[in-house]
Amino acid sequence: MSITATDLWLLSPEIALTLLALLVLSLDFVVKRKAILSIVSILGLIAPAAFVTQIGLTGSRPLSGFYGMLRVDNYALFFDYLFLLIGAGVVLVSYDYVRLYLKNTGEFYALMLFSLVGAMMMASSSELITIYIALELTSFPLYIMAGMLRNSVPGDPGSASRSSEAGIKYVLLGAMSSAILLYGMALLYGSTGSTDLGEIATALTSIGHGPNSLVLLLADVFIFAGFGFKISAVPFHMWAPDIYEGAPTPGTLFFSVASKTAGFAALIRVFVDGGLVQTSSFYLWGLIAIAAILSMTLGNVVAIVQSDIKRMMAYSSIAQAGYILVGFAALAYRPGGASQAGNAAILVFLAIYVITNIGAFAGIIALANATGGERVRDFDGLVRRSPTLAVGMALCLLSLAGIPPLAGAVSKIIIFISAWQDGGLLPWLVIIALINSVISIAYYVGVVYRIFVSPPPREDRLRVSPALSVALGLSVVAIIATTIFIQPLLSAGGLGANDLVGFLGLTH
Amino acid sequence: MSFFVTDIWVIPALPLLAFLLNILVLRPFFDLSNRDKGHAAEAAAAHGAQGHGANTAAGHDEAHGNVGDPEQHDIGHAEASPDDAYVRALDTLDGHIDTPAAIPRALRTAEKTPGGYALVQLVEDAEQHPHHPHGSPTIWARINGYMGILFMGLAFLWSLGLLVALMQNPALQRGETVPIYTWISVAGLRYPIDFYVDSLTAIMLVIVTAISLLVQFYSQAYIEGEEPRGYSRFFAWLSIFSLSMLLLVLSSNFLLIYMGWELVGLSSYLLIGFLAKDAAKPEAGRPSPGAAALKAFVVNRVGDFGFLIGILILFTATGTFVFTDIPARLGPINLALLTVAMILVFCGAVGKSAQFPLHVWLPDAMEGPTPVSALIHAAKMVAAGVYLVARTFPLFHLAGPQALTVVAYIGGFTAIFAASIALVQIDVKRILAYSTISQLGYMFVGLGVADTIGPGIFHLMTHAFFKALLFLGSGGVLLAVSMNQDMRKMGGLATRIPLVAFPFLLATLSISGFPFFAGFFSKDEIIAQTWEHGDYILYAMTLATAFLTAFYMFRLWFLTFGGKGGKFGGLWGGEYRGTVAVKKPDFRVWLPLMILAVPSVFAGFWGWSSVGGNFNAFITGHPLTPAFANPFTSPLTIFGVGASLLGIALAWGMYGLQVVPRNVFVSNPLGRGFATVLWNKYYIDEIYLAFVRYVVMGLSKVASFFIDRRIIDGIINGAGSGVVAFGRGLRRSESGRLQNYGAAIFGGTLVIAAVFFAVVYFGK
Repeated sequence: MSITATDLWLLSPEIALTLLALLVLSLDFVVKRKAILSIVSILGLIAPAAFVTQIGLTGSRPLSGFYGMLRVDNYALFFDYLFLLIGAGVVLVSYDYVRLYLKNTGEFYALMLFSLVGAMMMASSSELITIYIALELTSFPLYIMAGMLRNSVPGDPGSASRSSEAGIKYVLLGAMSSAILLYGMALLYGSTGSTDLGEIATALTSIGHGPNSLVLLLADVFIFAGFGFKISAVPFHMWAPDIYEGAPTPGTLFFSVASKTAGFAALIRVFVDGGLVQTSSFYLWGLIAIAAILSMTLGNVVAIVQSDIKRMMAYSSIAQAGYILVGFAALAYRPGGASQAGNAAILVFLAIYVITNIGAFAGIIALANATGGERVRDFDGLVRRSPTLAVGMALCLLSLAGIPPLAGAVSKIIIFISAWQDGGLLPWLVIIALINSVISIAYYVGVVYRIFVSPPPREDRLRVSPALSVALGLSVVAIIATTIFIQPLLSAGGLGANDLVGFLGLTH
Repeated sequence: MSFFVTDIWVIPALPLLAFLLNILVLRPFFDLSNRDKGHAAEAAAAHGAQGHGANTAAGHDEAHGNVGDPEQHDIGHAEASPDDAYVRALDTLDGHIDTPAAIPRALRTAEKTPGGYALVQLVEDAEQHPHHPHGSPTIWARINGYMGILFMGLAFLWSLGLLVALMQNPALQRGETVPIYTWISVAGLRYPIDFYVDSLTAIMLVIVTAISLLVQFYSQAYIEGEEPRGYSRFFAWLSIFSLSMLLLVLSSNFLLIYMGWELVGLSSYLLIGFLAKDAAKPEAGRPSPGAAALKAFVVNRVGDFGFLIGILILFTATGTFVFTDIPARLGPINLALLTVAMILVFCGAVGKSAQFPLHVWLPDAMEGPTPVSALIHAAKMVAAGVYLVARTFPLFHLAGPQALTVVAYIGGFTAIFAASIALVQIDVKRILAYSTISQLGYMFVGLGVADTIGPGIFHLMTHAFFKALLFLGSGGVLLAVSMNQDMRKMGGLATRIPLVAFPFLLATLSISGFPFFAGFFSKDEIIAQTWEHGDYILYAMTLATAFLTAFYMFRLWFLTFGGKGGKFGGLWGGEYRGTVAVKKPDFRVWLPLMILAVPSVFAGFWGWSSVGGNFNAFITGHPLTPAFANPFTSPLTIFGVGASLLGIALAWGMYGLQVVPRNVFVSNPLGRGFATVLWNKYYIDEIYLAFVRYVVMGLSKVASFFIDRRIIDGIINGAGSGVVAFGRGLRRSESGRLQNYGAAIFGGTLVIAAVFFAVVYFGK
């Protein structure tokens, strides 16, 4: 038993990212200008990206290392890129905010990078304990980031106490959810005698629907609940609005994209590669569908009545998780038979959601930095105060709402159409999703309406900092680019999805 | 296959590149940053275009507050006190005049202010002032202009190459689908972006790129005088306008054509509202540019709605958007359904091509800068409707005669209807606007009655050239007389600006159908087609329209360029009735006119078999019968030419020689009444307004009272407030208490587990 060079090579992106985090942390002691930390963080991401690319360019996948604990396939690589993208986006978006309000720049970036290491591990491991450790590695930095706002933001005296409250709530609820997840994993181990997803799948096929199936059912529900917390699916969502609102805004962005993406990456991997959807498709499908319906409906309906933009985005992210669950429900309904495009669209949806959310939060932070306002009505007449910010923000919101032909609409349409084509009860799920899409227009376009039509509270020109302009500008460019070049992204997602379902020899 | 065909993407790519370089690179990083002042003003103006459009009710008064002072331009919250405007206008004259164009604007405002009359004199003197240095575009803005012109020139050359390639290779003329890009192709969804190239496409490409090129060249001079700060932006919008129209022309399917269609609508909105700082002029019946842009957009929506439904019907019936695939997939066709679908598609054309009853936006669209008017009227927007019908002509044909009859009669009625309104107008650009509506009517008659698209497209082509010339010429006139559009303050301009007048006269002869000019061949062919197909009502309408056209166009000519005391019986020069000195336009104005004069005169020969013309064979593959191919063999031509000459003679008699009294028609009460009706454009705008105000609003009030408040509200409010109350209720579940959250998560997990436990256990 020894670790080979190949193992280290396969782990090189995570190792590079860890070293980067340590570098940022130690540079924090020596450099005076905190801008250097941002620059190092963002340029340092090139190293892990290069390793991911190098692995990606190397011949045959899937590769596995560390005795099968690490599994590097197209699915993992897709998410690796996505996490690095999130890292770059969050650094850009947070630059001014962290400098102005948090003061401890190095810690914030280092924590974020550590969290990303965990997220990348979550997407690329195929062993339950590793996944659990990776999940905790992802979560712990998040708990600290939520409570990091120690001095209140000017103009909002309660913000520091809300931030501490958010941190405490997050850590307690997170602990509870990971206990539930661990319990589910334990049950799975108890029934199958293995923590390796491949072996679990093999064991499950021989067990079938025997006496263990009730234990399996509990395991399924508990594991789903544990990851459901990370992806903020209803009814495990209740932490999201409070913590999104209380946390420093760049942290909120990071929760809404990194935590959710990692949660989905691991959730889908465990359920599909662990063979759970194959053996218990008939009720697992129902579980996912119910969570999808509840998430979409509750997320969209409650988002309408929010007055705080961060809370609104929290409910929006709950609803978006619901749309993704629709795609996952289709995958669970017909494991191996679900349409390839639908599986690819799940990954593409996540990617586009990440890009769009980074843009939207860049807009929110830009407005908050300039005016101190984070309420929905602070967006009134934004077009008069900063036309570029207004247009960029509006584009992101419209993409989230799924207004064609923007990228958000394309990914939504493909998920829905694929699910529809899978037949059975799925068209009903799609109909509910469509009704929800219509409801969601109320609040997304509501904000756009405020931006363009409502009279501004003040006649002034808002100054948007270069970093935020770049972040918002790049998001807008990325939205437009993905709108036009959606096909390559779908192909990449297709490769990832094929590796995922191909793990157990399910082919199309 | 020729590379002109296979690499057809070059043509739309060029204006796209010009647009992107302009708006993303040159304008923000060079043009804006190299201005000594006025970032804010430019940005404010940019958003003013939208602000006005979105909020026109407020938009009318706002220009009071910022006469000729872009620095203080502050849409939306300007306090428009008349005295304030007076003082500011005076300030304006004290040397703060940024642009010559600011002066007429100051004038318009001043005229409305109490005691502002004296100012008018001051202003008219000030009009002789040279440019203020701040009023010039930066060198980078000019580079943007040159770049747009260069790229459009390349696109024109490519189109010309394509046309030649098609002429040499008849096999290519019948159509070739060129795959460009597959947007999405998954799970049975396939949205390809394909171009379709046939001789119709080639002709349209040449027209669009040629006119765009000349208009861009011309715009340099025009926009420098009107709105120098918007120089870069104007060229960016021109590029996107060209791009939209090229996409529309090249598209091989309904999806792409609809995209181009909407982009044309958007870019025309931006361009019509370009001079957003100008105020409305109710005394001249002119709305503000913002209001005009909004009107164009909204009226087009009405037609587009029909178009969209038509597309969706066709898609539902056939499962494809591709023009050439639809006929084969119609299967056992339901002709009635196809007819309905095609009439709905035609609704879109009615909107874009400004046919009755959706013509009301086009005259108002004259508030855009004159080069934009030329583009809209000659090559771009209005041609799109005709092109759409021509492109989908096989479907119209398949649907049976009813759909085409609708096309022909809408066209015929619009032709005579618009021509009659043009008779009494006094605004140069408005007359030309109504003449466009009328000529478009001819094109639809041509498409509707002939069994081929040849005559309609032939007229589209000749019209594009002479109408572009007429509009650019009228722009030259406006530049010469300081943007006054009232013909009563013109006259005798031919001797003062002969370089504008000469090509203008040629175009006037062409549109009037004077023998051997381009318009004669194309128009006469359509008139003759109506007779040949036994449609005598349409024949009478089109013939009468030919007479009216000749009359109002020469009325325009004599009132503007000729008049009493001019040479050749008032034809050339004469008494000038204006007060401002006439300025001679530079070569950037008259050169495009001269170039356009060539096709305006000779393009008709392409359809004249005596000189070897075979336009119809090129477009459709079938030559016309000799009677149409050579108008001089048909006795009908005598009537067409007669109508035209009669109109010219009458106008000459009334306005040139002045031997016929000018009140000959309005001296009796009936004539006077009719003239009033015409002057008010048959009160269509008023009818629409009244319809909206009384019928729509009234009905909605009645409905609101009886149905809405009692029944619908019950349901909707029930549902709506249900959603909101549901949201509020759910929101209350967010108590903020950690214990509750933990209980909910754990409880939720257990409940789900219990439910599934029950299902699995008892379900067995």
